[in-house]
Amino acid sequence: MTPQPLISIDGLRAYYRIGGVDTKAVDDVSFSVEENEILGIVGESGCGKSTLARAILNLVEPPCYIVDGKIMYGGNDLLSLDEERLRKIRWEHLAYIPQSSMYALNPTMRVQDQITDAIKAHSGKSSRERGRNVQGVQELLDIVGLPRRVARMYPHELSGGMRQRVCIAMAIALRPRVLIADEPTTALDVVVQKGVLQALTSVQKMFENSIVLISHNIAVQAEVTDRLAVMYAGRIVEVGDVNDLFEQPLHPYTQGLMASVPSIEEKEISGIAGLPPDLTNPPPGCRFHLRCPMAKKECMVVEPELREIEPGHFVACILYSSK
Amino acid sequence: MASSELPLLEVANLTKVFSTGGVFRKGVLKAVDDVNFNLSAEEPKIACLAGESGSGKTTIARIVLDLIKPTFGEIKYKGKDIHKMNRGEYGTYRREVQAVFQDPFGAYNPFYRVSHILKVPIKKFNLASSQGDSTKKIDEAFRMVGLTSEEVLEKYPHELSGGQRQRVMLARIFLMRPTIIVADEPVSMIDTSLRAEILNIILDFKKRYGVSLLYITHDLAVANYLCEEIMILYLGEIVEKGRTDVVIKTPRHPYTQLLISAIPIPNPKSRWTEETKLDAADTEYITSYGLAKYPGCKFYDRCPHAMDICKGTSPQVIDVGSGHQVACHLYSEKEK
Repeated sequence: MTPQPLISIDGLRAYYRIGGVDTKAVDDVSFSVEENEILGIVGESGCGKSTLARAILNLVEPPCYIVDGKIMYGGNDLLSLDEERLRKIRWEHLAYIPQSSMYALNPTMRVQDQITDAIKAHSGKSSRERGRNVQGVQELLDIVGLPRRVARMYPHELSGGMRQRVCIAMAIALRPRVLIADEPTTALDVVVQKGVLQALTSVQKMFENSIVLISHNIAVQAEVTDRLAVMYAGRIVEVGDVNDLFEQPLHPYTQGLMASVPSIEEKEISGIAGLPPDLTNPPPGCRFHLRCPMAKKECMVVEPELREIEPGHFVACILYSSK
Repeated sequence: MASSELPLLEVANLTKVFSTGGVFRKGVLKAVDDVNFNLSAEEPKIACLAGESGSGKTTIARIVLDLIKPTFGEIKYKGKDIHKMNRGEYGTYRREVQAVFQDPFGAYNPFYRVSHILKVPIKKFNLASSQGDSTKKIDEAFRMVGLTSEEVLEKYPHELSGGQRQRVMLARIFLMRPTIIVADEPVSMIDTSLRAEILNIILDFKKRYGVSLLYITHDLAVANYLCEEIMILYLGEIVEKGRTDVVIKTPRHPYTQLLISAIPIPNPKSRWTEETKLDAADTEYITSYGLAKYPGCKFYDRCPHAMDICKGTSPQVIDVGSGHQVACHLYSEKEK
């Protein structure tokens, strides 16, 4: 028997309803998060990856709503739990690291108070245990590589990279099984970015938990992830081991994306012609067919399913359907 | 003749000081500190100014474009100081030195259609002899950037995607037949799959029409793709410059080395092996706490090779071979 995945997501749809029209940001997405792995989700702006991140935690807010699907974690479907039980699961089991750490921290509270606040709110520990929590704060700062004096500082005294580390420290305060990090390094300089990514990976090694890393940056994904899922226009088009995906990308979109990344190691790059489709009215068939260099007639009609082509390597493209 | 020997653009001793702070802490920030470089007139070239946030790269671009005045130093276009030009010369400089900015969303007036955006420069600089000529020129400019008039001409900016807006900007610039384009992070807000095409249009400008570029970026992978020459900025100073491939393969300044070691590589087979320490990692941290603490090298606090001399004395620029220049005491020691 193969081990049960930590989270399994099945047929998830999350739409934004604006003026009576649905924008299908996440449209029939299925995948799993395994124990002790870093799963990357890569895609371009507007492909639905941030919506997916929030949907996993059932944190979507209007105008976004979840249409249907299942998110199974520990025998429960997160989408059918009530707010109170969800609150217990969030942070203690599944924690979220937001994109803009700048706005995620309370500007009027010292770092240590914010962290203990979060611990109290989600673990139900009483204020008598506060002393122990402060001890915890120091440890947490050590883990993410921040000097201990940061505990007594306010967010405005910290740089972007330090704030992002504080967010990581908060997220891991209750030792969650899964960390969902939404573009955690996007606004940072490369040197700081590397530091933050190292903090994330060392946390993962230490706690042997899982991380879902949402990032549009393919090079960042290549540096840290174990498995990679590629999203396009609200769908996952390919999932597999990160080495397989880079060595032998199967989906024409993945191939195009890989070819378009400039690197300091190589010289040649080429883009993908055309634009991603309008998600209020996605094209029938494969959503990539309008830009696909290999598109056939069937692609305009048949919606390809995500199928396992090689062990652990899934792709949604009719080019591989005969296998 | 003399004019062909003059560099196209000459930046000499450029310094810009901003006053900062308010009631409690008044201070000055040297955003640009004695920066010198040239764009040669001999052959078109793309020169890159690379650095992290706060390194002063955008300030330099804005000074070159005459959007802000330098505190000290000169910008010469074809041998003439842009602040001492007469009306006619200044008009030529304005037409021939064009800009592309980072945010293609903020560069447009939302009330005007694309056609208006293109017709204004044609009128202002008398680029077309007739209505027919104007239409022909616009069509040609769109073709150059991979768009068609039917697609975009009568649209409003909000109806275009980020990539299309940046292309329209490039078409507008193309109309003016500039000699230099100052491009400030033109692709950093554009998706990867669309980015390559914009970069290729920029390369085409150089190859087919002999336009030189001053390309400003934080992304050394993009610099490696586009630029022949690179200048690495750190807190307002050029710490290293040379041919892009040479600087990226054999960085000499400890800061450049740190920067290059932190670039993520899109290949899971060559992952980072060394750890980056926090103290070395955080520029902003240094910027807010350590700036101008010492009169010497600005990288002193973060440098793994810092020596006593670095604390008190600013390093001179040293040529380490075929135009590869470094401002670091490590190499001046070797010279002796």
